[in-house]
Amino acid sequence: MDPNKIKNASEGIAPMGITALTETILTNQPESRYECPVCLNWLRDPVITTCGHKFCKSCITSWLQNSGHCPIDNINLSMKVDIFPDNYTKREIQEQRMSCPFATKGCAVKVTPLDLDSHIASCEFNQPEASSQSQVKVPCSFSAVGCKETFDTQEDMNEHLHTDVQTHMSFLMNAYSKIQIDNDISNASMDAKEQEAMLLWEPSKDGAASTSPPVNNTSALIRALYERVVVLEQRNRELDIVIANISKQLSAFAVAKMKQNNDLILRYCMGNYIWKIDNFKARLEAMQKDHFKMLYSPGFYTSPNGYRFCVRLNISPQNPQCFALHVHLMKTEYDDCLEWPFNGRISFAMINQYNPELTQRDTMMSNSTLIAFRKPSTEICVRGFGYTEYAVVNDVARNGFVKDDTLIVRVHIKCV
Amino acid sequence: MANIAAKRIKREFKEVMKSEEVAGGAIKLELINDSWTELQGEIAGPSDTPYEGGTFILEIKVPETYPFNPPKIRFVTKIWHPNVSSVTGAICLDILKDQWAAALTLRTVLLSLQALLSAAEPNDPQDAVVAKQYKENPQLFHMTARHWTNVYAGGPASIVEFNQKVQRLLDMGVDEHDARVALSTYDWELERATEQLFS
Repeated sequence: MDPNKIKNASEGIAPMGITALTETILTNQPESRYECPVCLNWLRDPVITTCGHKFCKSCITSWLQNSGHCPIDNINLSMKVDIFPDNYTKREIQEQRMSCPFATKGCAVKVTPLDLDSHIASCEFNQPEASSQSQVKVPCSFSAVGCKETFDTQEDMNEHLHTDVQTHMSFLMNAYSKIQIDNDISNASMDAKEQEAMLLWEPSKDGAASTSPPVNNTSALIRALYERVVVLEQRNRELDIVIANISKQLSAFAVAKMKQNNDLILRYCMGNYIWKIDNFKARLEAMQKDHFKMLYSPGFYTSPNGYRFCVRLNISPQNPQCFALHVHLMKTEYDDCLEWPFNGRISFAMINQYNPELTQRDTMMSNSTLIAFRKPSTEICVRGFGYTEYAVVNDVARNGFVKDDTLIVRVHIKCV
Repeated sequence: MANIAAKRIKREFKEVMKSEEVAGGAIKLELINDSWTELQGEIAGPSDTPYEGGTFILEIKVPETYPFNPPKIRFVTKIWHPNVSSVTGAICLDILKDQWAAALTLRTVLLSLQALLSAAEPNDPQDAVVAKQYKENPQLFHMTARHWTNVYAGGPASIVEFNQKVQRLLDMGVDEHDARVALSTYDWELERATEQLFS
């Protein structure tokens, strides 16, 4: 193949200015046996895999974080058991010496391939050679503040000045703030806050180079502040989570507490239960629509470990003009310790909330022959005891028994 | 851009430039910007395929995490192929997704894409319509792909019948590419394509 043709083909595609760049990289091109297939650079801290491939330690580590396979042949690899340091190759690479690409300009330095890049960056002969150019290039008028562009013609520069206004502005801004800070420092008036911030500055754990205490410059200050901000933000986020958890627990506690309160009232009412039926109108309508709908009170106790009753209010099945009112025995955990059948006095009082004299009071004695007073075998004893025609519905609804849409029935059950 | 990604792309760029494939005109690679994050690839349609004689341009975006994640590549040149979206140019190729390996390079990826043009994978399609045609009516698929190569990629084979049908729809005021997509989708049946375009 004609080598000139190859050259033309590549140069035809590479944009201007790239050629010079690639030349430098070309000089530091490793032989394939010393090349890392991941970064395509000289193997740095080479390791070898069980499948026989060499990589930079950091390259294969990064790769295996997301993939469990060899980048070359897809064989499963584990960082722990399949990767070994390849000190042979490491030594081979370290024994190599390469001349600085600026040797032609007089640099006599020879370094290992691994150090070549850092040497090139700092090589004193690595200067743009203005004199060797056929035409002297004009630096940008903003070169004093950091713009590195150079131009062959005035037109080029004008265009650059026109298009890169933003860049130049930021150069100017940087320069301006630098002057400001220099002024501040030279006046020895470092702000108290700033000093405090400096104290917060902690060297990063890995960077041995950055362990020196902060110098009086903005970048160290900004870094210190930034690190502090990150720490505080993190803490803030953690606290937010803690607060959210605590408030969740708190509302759970509040609910539990309320429930416990209600339970306490029911258990320690000594058979004296006041049943408030709120939303009475709506409930009544629902019951009138469907006569099988019944209202049950919560279960209450005649003594803390005594009998448990609940009250049932419903439209009488025999006479839809009337309410039926019954008590039902309910199961408790200590039913076995109680005496059966239940023996006692049951009093109902439907409170007239406007005229206490009209309150309807009734008292009944239990009847030991009835199933209703035997030990309940279900959660609520199916048989109740009371009145199938306790009160006339219209009478209850109109004559002062309901106030604020609430009907109150007091039940008193006493053992004898 | 992360240092390792930029450094590697520079080296890869050089590798491609030196390669025989570039010399032979099979692949090409160009830089789009100076930050080495965007490149433009070019592959020649392989011979003995409907893509023969065409030149296909690819958009290549290099993520910051390269080479630990694959480059993002899509066809800029419109192409009729089961594994390439006829609408977006998105490519369904395992090595650009879960089968990516850090040892793959832009050069090997471009060559893999070229190989994909020679050997489609209709069972893992990116464009279901194309894949269906590929399986059920291979001859028509071949013609359609050749027609697209001619129109969009500078291929040599102009298919008069297809051009006339596209022209018919153009005369009705339909956008040229829309017309071509509709006709290709409905196996070049003018009535069905028209119905779809105007419904």
